[in-house]
Amino acid sequence: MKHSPKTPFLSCVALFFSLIFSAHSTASNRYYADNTLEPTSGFAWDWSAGASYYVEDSYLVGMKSYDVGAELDLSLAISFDNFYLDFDHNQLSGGLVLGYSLINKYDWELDLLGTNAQAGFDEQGLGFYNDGIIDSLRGIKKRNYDFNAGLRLTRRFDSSQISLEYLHDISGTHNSWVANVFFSHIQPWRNWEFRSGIGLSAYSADFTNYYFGIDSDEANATRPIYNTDASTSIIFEFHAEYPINQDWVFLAGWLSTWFSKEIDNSPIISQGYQHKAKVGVRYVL
Amino acid sequence: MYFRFFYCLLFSYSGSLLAAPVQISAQLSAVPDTCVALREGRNCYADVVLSWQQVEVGNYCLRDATSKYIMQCWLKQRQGSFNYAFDSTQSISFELFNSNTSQVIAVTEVKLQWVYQNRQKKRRWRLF
Repeated sequence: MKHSPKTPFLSCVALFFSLIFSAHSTASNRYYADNTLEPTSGFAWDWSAGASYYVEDSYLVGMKSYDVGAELDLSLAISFDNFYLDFDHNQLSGGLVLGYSLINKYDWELDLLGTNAQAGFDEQGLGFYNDGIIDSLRGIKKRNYDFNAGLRLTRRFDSSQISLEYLHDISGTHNSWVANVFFSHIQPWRNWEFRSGIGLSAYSADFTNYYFGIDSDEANATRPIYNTDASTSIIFEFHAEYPINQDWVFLAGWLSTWFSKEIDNSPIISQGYQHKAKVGVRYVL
Repeated sequence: MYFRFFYCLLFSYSGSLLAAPVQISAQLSAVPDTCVALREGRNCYADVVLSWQQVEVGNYCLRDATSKYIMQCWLKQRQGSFNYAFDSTQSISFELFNSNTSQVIAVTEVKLQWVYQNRQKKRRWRLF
């Protein structure tokens, strides 16, 4: 991603929004035991905003090893009876989730789920703020964001939670499956809150080839045709929050992903891992 | 010339000191006087310094205003301080009292605040 020329502008915008927007926020990351994506009676909503500064080491070839920039952390959770929509941008593992709670009994939950699993990318790389074609990606076809639907089974244990998801693409992007297992734990320590999680994802061969395969139209002297099998990845997240005062929260997060050789060996992948870290603040009225 | 300026400055400064009302600081104070927890219902932690001062030398004690647990006493003193490890899910008040008469002389409070509400208390909006 090419963020540098726009970083001061984005920082100002981020700070502006963080000052304007505020809310009585609650956690809503679906992978953690205190998420609010539960059945409600009637309509309920919750939103928050903040800004953070990140450092990212992406796995795509041609990307900077240490890309830095500022970004907005907008979050929105809406629920109506058993339906919910959640957009979590506070934690690095967050994202857009549309759901319907089928069963919520004792410590078990079964949900119908719709969510994005893989970010799209093109010749300009991965991200929102691209400003030019990356030479080593020049000539590749655009990979779209997917949108998958499926089931999630969750079991909570006080501050811990394990989730199993089986999803299938319904956007026509790769038309295949993704499966996730994620275990998380929330640990308070004095006024801090530490949230950590580890997950394993499996991707179908169609998924892997759509995003990381190279077909004959894309191949060139330095980018051979690449066709592979199903792949996996392991994800690790650490997130910390500390109340600066009643209105401001300091947050810091780390997300690492390690990819199996089916992804790592792709000609458009420079390394078998990627890391992203961020520090930021969130204003809460 | 310099001496004249110096004396002028000195007198104007001392004059302002004399003109100012006599300031008596609070008899009992807590610093910080607020503890902020991340979530409602969770324990809040803070290192609080409770300081007191009196005009007269005497025997004074500091205690929890609710439990009446005495934290420290001072004999023949007119001021003192106590480092208190705040660890509570609610605000705590403290009292300074005269140990000879048991009369409460001053009260202060460490207020508890939190950032996030409990998840059951979601913001609701009804159309009808």
